[in-house]
This record gives sequence, C-alpha cells and structure tokens, in this order.
Amino acid sequence: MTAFPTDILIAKAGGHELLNSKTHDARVLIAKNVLKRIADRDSNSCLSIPLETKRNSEEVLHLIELRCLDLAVAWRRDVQSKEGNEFRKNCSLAFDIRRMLSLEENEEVRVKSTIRLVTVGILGDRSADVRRYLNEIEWPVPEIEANSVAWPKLVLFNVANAFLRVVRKQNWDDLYAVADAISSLRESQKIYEEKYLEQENGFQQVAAFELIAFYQLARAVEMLGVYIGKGTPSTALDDIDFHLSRAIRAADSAGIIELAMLLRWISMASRVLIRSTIWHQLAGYNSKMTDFKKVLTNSTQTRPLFELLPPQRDAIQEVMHTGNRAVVVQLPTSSGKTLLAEFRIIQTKVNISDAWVAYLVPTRALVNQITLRLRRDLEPLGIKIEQATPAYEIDALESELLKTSGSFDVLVTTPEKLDLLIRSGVAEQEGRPLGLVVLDEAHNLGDGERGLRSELVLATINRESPDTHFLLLTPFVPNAKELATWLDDERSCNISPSLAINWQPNDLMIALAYPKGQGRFWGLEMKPLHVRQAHRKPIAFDEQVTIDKERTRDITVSNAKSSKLNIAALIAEVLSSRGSSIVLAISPSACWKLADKLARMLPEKQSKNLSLVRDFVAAECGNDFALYSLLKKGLAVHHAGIPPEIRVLLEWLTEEGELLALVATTTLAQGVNFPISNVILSTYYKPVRIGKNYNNQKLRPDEFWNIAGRAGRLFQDTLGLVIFASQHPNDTTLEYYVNDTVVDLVSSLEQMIKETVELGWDLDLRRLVRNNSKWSSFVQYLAHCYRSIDDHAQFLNNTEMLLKRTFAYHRLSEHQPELAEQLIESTRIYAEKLNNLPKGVLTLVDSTGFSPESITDLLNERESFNLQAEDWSPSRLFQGGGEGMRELVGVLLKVPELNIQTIGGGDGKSISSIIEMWVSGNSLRQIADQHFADISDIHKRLTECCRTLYQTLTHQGSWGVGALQSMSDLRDEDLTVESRSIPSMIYFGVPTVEAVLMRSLGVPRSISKELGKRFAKETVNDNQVPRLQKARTWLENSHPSIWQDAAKQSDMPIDGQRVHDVWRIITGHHN
Amino acid sequence: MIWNSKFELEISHVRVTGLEAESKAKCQQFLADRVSARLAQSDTIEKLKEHMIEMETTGFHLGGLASQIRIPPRVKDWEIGEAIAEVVLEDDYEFIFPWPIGFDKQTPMASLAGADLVGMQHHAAPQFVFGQVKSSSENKVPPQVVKSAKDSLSKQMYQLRHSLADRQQLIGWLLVRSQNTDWESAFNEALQLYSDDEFLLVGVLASGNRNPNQRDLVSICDEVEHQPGIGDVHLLGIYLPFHKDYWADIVYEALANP
Repeated sequence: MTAFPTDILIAKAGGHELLNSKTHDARVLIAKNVLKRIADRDSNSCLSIPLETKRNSEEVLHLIELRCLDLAVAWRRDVQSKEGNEFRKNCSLAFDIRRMLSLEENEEVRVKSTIRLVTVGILGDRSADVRRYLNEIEWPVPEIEANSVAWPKLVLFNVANAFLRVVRKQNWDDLYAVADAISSLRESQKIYEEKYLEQENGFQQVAAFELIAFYQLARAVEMLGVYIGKGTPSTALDDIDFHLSRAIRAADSAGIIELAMLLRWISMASRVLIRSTIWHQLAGYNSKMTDFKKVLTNSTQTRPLFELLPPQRDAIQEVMHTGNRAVVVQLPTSSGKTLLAEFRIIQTKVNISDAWVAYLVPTRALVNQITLRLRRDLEPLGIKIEQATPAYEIDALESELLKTSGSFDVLVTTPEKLDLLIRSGVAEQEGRPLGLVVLDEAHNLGDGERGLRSELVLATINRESPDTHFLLLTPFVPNAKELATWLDDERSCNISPSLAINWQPNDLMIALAYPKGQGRFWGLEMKPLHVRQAHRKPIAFDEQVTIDKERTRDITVSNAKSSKLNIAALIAEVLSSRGSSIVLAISPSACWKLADKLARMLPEKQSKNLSLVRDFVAAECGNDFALYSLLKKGLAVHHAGIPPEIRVLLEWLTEEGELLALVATTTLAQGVNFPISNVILSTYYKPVRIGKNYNNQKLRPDEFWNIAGRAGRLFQDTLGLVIFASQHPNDTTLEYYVNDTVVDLVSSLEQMIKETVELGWDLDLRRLVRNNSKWSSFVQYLAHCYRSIDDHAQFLNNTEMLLKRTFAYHRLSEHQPELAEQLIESTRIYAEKLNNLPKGVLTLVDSTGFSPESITDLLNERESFNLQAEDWSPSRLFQGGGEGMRELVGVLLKVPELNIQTIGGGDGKSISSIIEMWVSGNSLRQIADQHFADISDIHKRLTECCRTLYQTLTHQGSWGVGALQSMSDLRDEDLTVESRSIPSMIYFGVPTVEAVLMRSLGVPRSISKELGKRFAKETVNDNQVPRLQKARTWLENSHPSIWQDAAKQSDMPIDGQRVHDVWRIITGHHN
Repeated sequence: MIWNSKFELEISHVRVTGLEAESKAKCQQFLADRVSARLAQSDTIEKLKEHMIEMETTGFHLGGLASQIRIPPRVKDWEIGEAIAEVVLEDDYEFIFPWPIGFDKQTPMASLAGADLVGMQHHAAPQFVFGQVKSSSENKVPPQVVKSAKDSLSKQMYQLRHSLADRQQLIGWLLVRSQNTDWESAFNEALQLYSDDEFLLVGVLASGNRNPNQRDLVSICDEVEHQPGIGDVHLLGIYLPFHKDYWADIVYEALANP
C-alpha cells in the first residue's frame, strides 16, 4: 500500500486499533441506550453521553473521516482494492460514531448531520443499518412553511428530505415524493428566489453560488430517484456525477467549505447508491433479467426491491458467472440468499431453455415458503414453479404432474424426495436436462441422516449429470471452499462476501440475565458475554446492566431464581415491549410450563389475526387446549406436539410481530427461518435420540449460531438480543459454550466411518448395515451406482470415481487417505454382495429407499403383504378399526429404515387403528382420547398424539406402505389412482383422492374432503392439465362461499370464510 | 517594505504584532496595486457565468441568478480587509493561499465560524494556517469586532484554537482540493507538521484611520486560552491611514485607471 498523507496522523493518534476501539465504544453506547429503553419501559428514553466521551468520539470521528477523504481517490479507482476496503471500513466506523453522537443532536444540526451519517453509512456498506436508522428515528427534516424561512433553507430542507427518502426507499411512495419535492421546488423558485437575492445585501454572489450548488444537487437527487425506481437513463452514473461535481465546484468557488464537503460525501454515496441498484448490478444481461428487475421493483410488491444488500451485491457477479459450475455462497442469516438463487435460476433458463431446476430445502414449511416466493418472483417471467411434497413416496397425482412434459421449470422439494424422484426415474422429464440444483441451508449436510441423504443425492446427480450446476447456500462454515471443490474441483467458487467489514444485518448482543435483589424486592440484571467467533463478534462490555428495575414483587427472589424456566419467562416479559421473542425450552412440557408462567405476567392482547388463529386452534384441538388461551395473551408454544398447520400459523403470527413470545423447543427452533427481535434461552441443550432413549446434548455451535443469528430483524432492530436465563451473575460454562468454535462441516458418512474405525471394527458394509440402519443410505447409493453401471467389472474399476463424488471420500482422501483406501476396499467387497442379489432387488432399492438387505428380508415374507389389486383399496385397508392394515403394519415394524416405535400391545394393532382414524377424518382430539387415554393431562395427551402422528406415522407409514405397494407383484396399471394414493392418504390424513389433492395444496385437513368433492364436481378431468395444477387454479379462484358450504358439511365449528383465510395464510396468499 | 512594526510582544503565549503603513502614499499605492489585483483575481462574475451555462440542464430558472451577473456588486470593505490581510501575510510572512476564501459568511449552510484564511505558511517546511480577519474604523479600543461583537475575533479565535473538528474540516477541504495539484506536496508536509501539533492560527485586525494600539489585540489574548504545545497563535494588527469606507474608492479608482 502506498503512503498516504494521513498515515502519520492515524499512527500518532494510536493507530487503527484506537479507531476500532473508539468505534466499539460508540456501538456499546448505542446498545446501552437500547437496554436503557428496556429498563425504563420507554421506547423514547435516551442515554446521556458523558461530555468527555462525546469530545473524544468527535475527535476520532473527524480523524476517520479525514482518512476516508485521503483514501477516496483510491477507493473510486478500485472499490475492491486494499485502500478501497480500508475506505469502506473506516466509513463504517464513522457511521457507528455518528449514530451514537446523533442521540443528542439538536434540531439545528440534525438535517446536515443526518446527511453526513447516511452518506458514511452507505459508503461503509451499512445501507441496511442506514435504512433501519431512518425508520427508527423521528424524521430528521421538519415540515416547514415555505414563507417562514429564507429560500436557501427551504431548498436545502426539500432536497435533504428527497435525498433521505431516496436512501430509505421503503416503497414507491418515497420515490414519488422525491419527484414531487423537486418539481415543487422549481415552482417555488419563481416566488421566493428573487426576493431572497434582493435581501442578501452584500452577499448576493455568495448566495448565488450557494443556490447554484443547491439546484445542481436537487437535479442530481431527482435523477437518483428516477434511476433507483426505473433504472433509466443508463447513463445515470455519469449524469448524476456531472451535476454533483458542478455543485461541488460552485461551493468551492464561494468557499462555502462545509457545503463543499457535504456535497463531496453525497457525491461519493450516490455512486454507491447507483451501483447497488438491481439496475446497475444486472445491466446488460438479457431481456428475462430485465423482466425480473421489473417484477422485483413492481409497485404491487409490499417491499419493492430497488437495491441489493452489500453482500448480495458482491456475491452477484460471482453467482452470475456461468463458468462456475459449483458455487457455495456463505451469507449470514436474513441477508437475501433466495434472491441470489433466483438470479441463478434465470441464468440457467436463459442458457438452456428446456432445463429444469431442483430447489432443495430442509422442511415442509420451507417447501411451501420457497415455492410461493419463487412463484411471486419468477412466474411473471414464464418460469413455472411446482413443489413435490416431502412425503417419501410418489403419489399418483404427483407422478402425473412430474411426468407431464413442461409442467414445471423449477421443482421445490426436500433432498430426500429428490433422491427418490431421481433414483426411481420419475424426474427424468423426457430427457430435459437438470440444469441447476440449489441446496438451501447447506450446512445441514453435516447433520445426521438428513445430511447424509443430501450429500448422496448431490453425489448421484454429480455423477450422472456432469453438466448440472450447483448452488449451495449456507450461513458461515469454515470449510466452504472444500464444499465447492467437492462438487467440482476446477470450475467452482466459494463466495463469502464479508468484504473488509464483516457484514451483518444488525448488531447482536449475547448476554445472561438473572434476578437480583433481596426478599420480595428484586429486579433483573443482564451481563453481556464476550464472544469472539470468526464470523461474528457480538457487542459486549464489562458491566452489569439493569433490564428490569428492582421493585417489590409477589414472589421472593429465591423463588424467582428457583428455575431457569421462571427466569426465562421473566426475561420474556421484560422484552415483550420490543418485538417478538423466541423462548427456547428443552421439551414440549417445559414449553407449556414456561408459557403458562409468562401468560400470568402479561395482559390480554387483541388483534384480528390472533383471533383468527385462536378460532382455528379451537376448531382443531378444542378450546380447552392451552394454546387457545395463550393466544389471548399474544403467546404461543411451538413444538412437535403442535399440528404442522398450526405451527405455520404461529410462525406467521411471530413474523408479523403479533406474538410477543413464541415458546419453542430447541429442536424445532432450529427450523425457524425468519428473524425475530430476541432469542431467550432457558436451556441450550436439546434431546437427542439414541436408540430408543433420549439424551440431552448441547446444541452444536453451528446450531446455536443458526438460532442466535435470527435475533434482530433487517431494517428494524438495531440490536438483536440473545439472552440466556441464568441463576447467577457469572456462569463460566456459558462463556465457554458461546465461544465454542464453529467447526468444519463434516460429512455424516465421514463421521460414521471414523466412529467405526475408532471402535476397532471392520469397515464391512454388509455387517454394518445389518447392525445399524444409518448405513442404509450409503449402501443404497452404492446399489444405485451399481444398477446404473450395470457391469460388475466396470463398477470395480470405477469404485474410486463414484466414491469421490461423496463429500466424505473427498475429505478423507485429503485428510485421512488410509481411511479413504479402506472405504474403496469395503465398497469392492460390498459389490460382490450386490452382484449376487436376486434380479429386481436393485430396482426395488431405488424405488423404496430401503437397503438391499431390507428388501431381501421383506421379499422372504412377501406373502404377508402381497395383496391383490382389489385389496389395495382404501375401503378395505381403512376399515374395522384398522384391522385391514394390521398385517401390513406388522411388516413395517420390522423394517429398520422406518424405525417405527410400537404403541400399545406392540403388535401394530394400535398403530393401524390410529392410521385408520387419521385417514377417516377423526380429529386429533378423538385420536388422542382413544389411543393415549392413559395420559391424564390433555396437553401431554395431544402432544404425544401429534408427535406420534407427525414424527412417525404419517411420514414412515406412507413411505412404508408405498414401498410395500411397489414391492407387490402388481404393476402401476393394475392399480386404480385411488389405490395408488393410499400412501398419500396416510401422509395427509384424508380418505379420498380429491382430498389428497386439496391437502397437497395446503388445505386444512378437516375441510379437505368436502372441498375435494366440490372440486371434482366443478371440474372435468381431461388429462390435459395435471390435476394438481388444475386444483391450484381452482382453489386460488374459489369463492369463500364454497368454503363456507364445505365447512358446514364437514361439521366444522368455525366459519368456512375463516378457514379460507387460514388457508391463504398457510399458503402465503395473504400478501 | 511599506509596513513599520509598531508593537511586537507575547501575551499569554499569543504573539501580538502591530504594523503601520509607512506613509499614506505608499499605502494608497499598496491598495491600488496589490490589493486591487488580488480582488480582480477572484473575478466571481466570470465564474458565475460558467456555472450558469451548466445550470441549464437542472430545470431551474436562470433569470434571478442571471441578474447577479448583469449588475456586478460593489466590493465590500470586509472583502478588501480580507484581501489586505492575505497580501500582507503573503508578502511579509511567507503565507500562501491556494484558494482564497472570499465568501464564507453566514450562509445557511455554514455552521463553522467561517475561517477567512485557509492556507499554509512556507518557512522551512509548510505548515497550515487558519485565520480570521476583521475590519474596523471604529473609534474605540478595542473595536467591537475584536472583543464584543457576536462573531468577534476573540470568539472566532477561541473556536479555531479549541475545535479540532473545525480544523479537521478545513484540512479535509485542503486535502481534497490539493490532490493532484502543485500544492499536494506542500499539503503533505503541512499535514506531517500538523501531526506534531505544529500549525498556525492567525487573527487579523485590518484597521482604518485608527492609531496603532497594542490593547486592540492584547485585550483578547487571555480569551483565546491558548496553551503552548498545540499550534501557535498570532494576532496581527494592520493599521491603514484611510477610513475603511474609502478603501473601495481607492481600489475602484485603480481598477478604473490601470
């Protein structure tokens, strides 16, 4: 780096360390201000800044800004250069200090200082913070009467107002206001300018120069507004630069130094504003991209997207570069990864017009959310989006959709389902190429069985389709590069656009909170925890801060301290005024307890949305279900014992800010993928199933950070809070815990191999898969390769190649080559077994998702499930209290992959009865009362019932029955659509094909049958359009009266119109 | 040399100097030659004209501003006072002012207590000079502009001395303006000295038709509250034999009969 004149000033002031430390102090003050507001229970209360601190901060600020001016030329030449990065970093520091100083600004200087604040913020890549700041503060430009102030002040205020709106650009109103403000200035000029110039006795020339500078600025801001909204003219960067440079020259000429400097900052910030627009970023791609930009900025969007966030901006060029086959994008939570995927999808479709794209997400809720988002953004461009339900079977309707040529361009589903679709050949799409696979939340690759399935499906695709591109989206993982080179060791790239500054959507504080005081007189104090992670450094300081003042209370402090659930409830109450919290508890029963404690502290809360969800809960679970009364207080619980539809509604309420607190189990909270203001932990342990028992284990660092990263909403919360409930002011184990480093993403298969060898066992796959079903997925991968190579000798020759496609082998060959060798050897030995399998077994492995061993075992007792075509009918299977299913269930209980826990007598009788009741439309309450009657507490009973159904039976049951169906001697054509829909009926809990159709489209279970009937009556099955697509259109256009009728027919204790509203929320049609 | 030293002393670490014109004739000559040339140099009308051409694409009306070009205003005594200060400081104290500040007055944007002098002094190595200028022919010691006015020299010097932020704003302006110009290396050297707290603050009283009196400036030395170690402060009284109301006449006469 070349020498800069200011080098010596910085060095003498104490170097960059001092600048950083002063800036850190400023951020601490901002954080303390947030905490003060919590303690005062007053969102306007303000911390007074000590005079000395203020003076010191100002000195450092001016030094930093001087440094920035010194670096500006280099920055302008090359933003990414070392100097450019230092410039951005320093601007970011200046932003932090100015934000702190602004706490105490008087009105006189507010307009100018806000402009300075936002310009350094923009230049420091803090646009999200800047926009949030502008949302949070009282608007800095006061309304003024035109004739009450001198003309230049009127001009300045109007232009400042317009500029700040351009920066904020909450929606189109902001941009319209810019145009209005400037054009009204031109009108006012005729009235006020002349009079002003006449009055400026002796200073007319200064006044003239000043006005020239203002008018040039006004024009520039006007053009900026137009460009940000519409992307025209394409020469905006130069045009705006021209006007601003003239404005600067005018101010320089008149020696109006402060204005001249302000204009320079505006000029630099304007460049960044222009360059961050989607127009500039995506200039010159193609017409589809132009259409996409129009969709994103459309005025009908709730929050039109004019600007890319800094990490998106920096990632976009790499993502758009088609030469990279495998791209791993590491971005923090809530920084807009989906948008990057959308760009890549468009690019794929432009390059290969008939290609299809697989978009993989980990959960059913995400399948719905992403489908909707993609439909909103991409369908206007003619890109068709469909989803495949995460059920591990392919029902008749889905198969009809997927096999119809051109019925979709993007398929949103889970990795497991895609694996099944690919291996069973359903996704062949008449030879359409699979152009792109997007894997969202790719850090899950290291997560047990789920991760293994993802790894292996990517391996299969990579092996079979060498032209398919990959886009992996993940929060921070230290070895992202390794992930990229695994998929393609030459044409790959890893993007972690952390730039010079580690971009985060907001500040974060991690702390513990504990009750403090004596007897009945006590309060809550908080102690920040010092955390240093490579990807995140939360704000911390060595000081205890009160968040709830000491006062006389009903219970004693020792009582309050008696459990962490108590403490967590207290913290949640304190934070209830600053947006939604997620409160973590270890188990469903702990969730209920905690929620109950919190409910006692909160007043009732009313809202239209809360009452809608409450009515639905009452209809589904009865109004004596505690969730119903919790919702009255703006509270809810969220765990595996809550029906999935209700969970979606609760997540929606939280996201909408309607819930004060969502009390969730640590396990389920990991799936929450929307930002909230606060995360409160009563525990950082989660139950982990080992065999038939559960063991409590700490959340892994990546899991903890995934949840912690949700704290703080983009554009809304200055400070995200993550607070551990603690019984003491100090807890060193906690400090150690939060400082546990996020480790490399390791393949689950690799872990399995290592564990095996560490135990001193042979890596004999034949034996391993017999002993533990976790090996099943891997041997299935080998079986699929074996089947597709279809030549024993060639398989042996290619062993290394096909193993290389797994992340496990990729890493082992690098880090532990001897284990990699062993794996090759074991695979070759296993190949001998594959070679000797009876005919047809390999095909069944692919179509069932069972290992060759399980298939062989099942085939040996085929008689017990080899039903005749007519026996595979719902009326036969779902009859007599489950008797029709009993034998099938007995078989399923033996399949290790399904791992179904027995209930009742252990002979499958209870399970088949539950399935029968579930499919026949009995309510959850009825099923719980009949089958879990031994649990006296209604909440525990319902929780257990839901857990059994949703965690095991619907998923495993439909998978198993589907597998048995495909293993019977019957061909597809021998079975009716109704028979082929049996697995889906089990999955969705409905008894007809039309109801399955409705359920696939998100319709609540209790109304699906009746609504399905109406659909069947009103539409003709002409085989032209897949029924799923037809039903979707029908539902979207359905009149609420149809829902009202159907609800009446279904005896639902809720108005059909309300169910319709619920459906719109669940499927995201409410926006 | 047209100036005679009338007093030279140091009070409260502030250097105070008084200069008186040697004669009326020499002073008249000085105003007619050096000062009028300086004022002609900053021909604002020409600059305004250039700006007006570039204003056309802004969509704002040009009529009102154009009238400023048509009727060139008469130069004001304070402008002449500043020009006198600049010329004296350049001629006698090796100052340089790359971009004379003619106008930084109470415009709506200017929250700085406008520095009238922003430049460098060229001794062994260049150092920054920031200063304020006041003109007075008031029959009072010290004149109000020095001690008691709202924006008195005393208050402005105190502000310059104690507001790091103000000084750094001025340095920032010099920095961006000197980049890629002949002034760049001088600026860099001055910044180096500034990092050792070496710079000069100068307060000038351009006095017309008043007798040199050290109390004009000595009376405010304490108020600047200067402590050695951070810059030097110099107060300079320039005593001209003509009332400031006549300065413009002399300058215009010279401009009319070059």
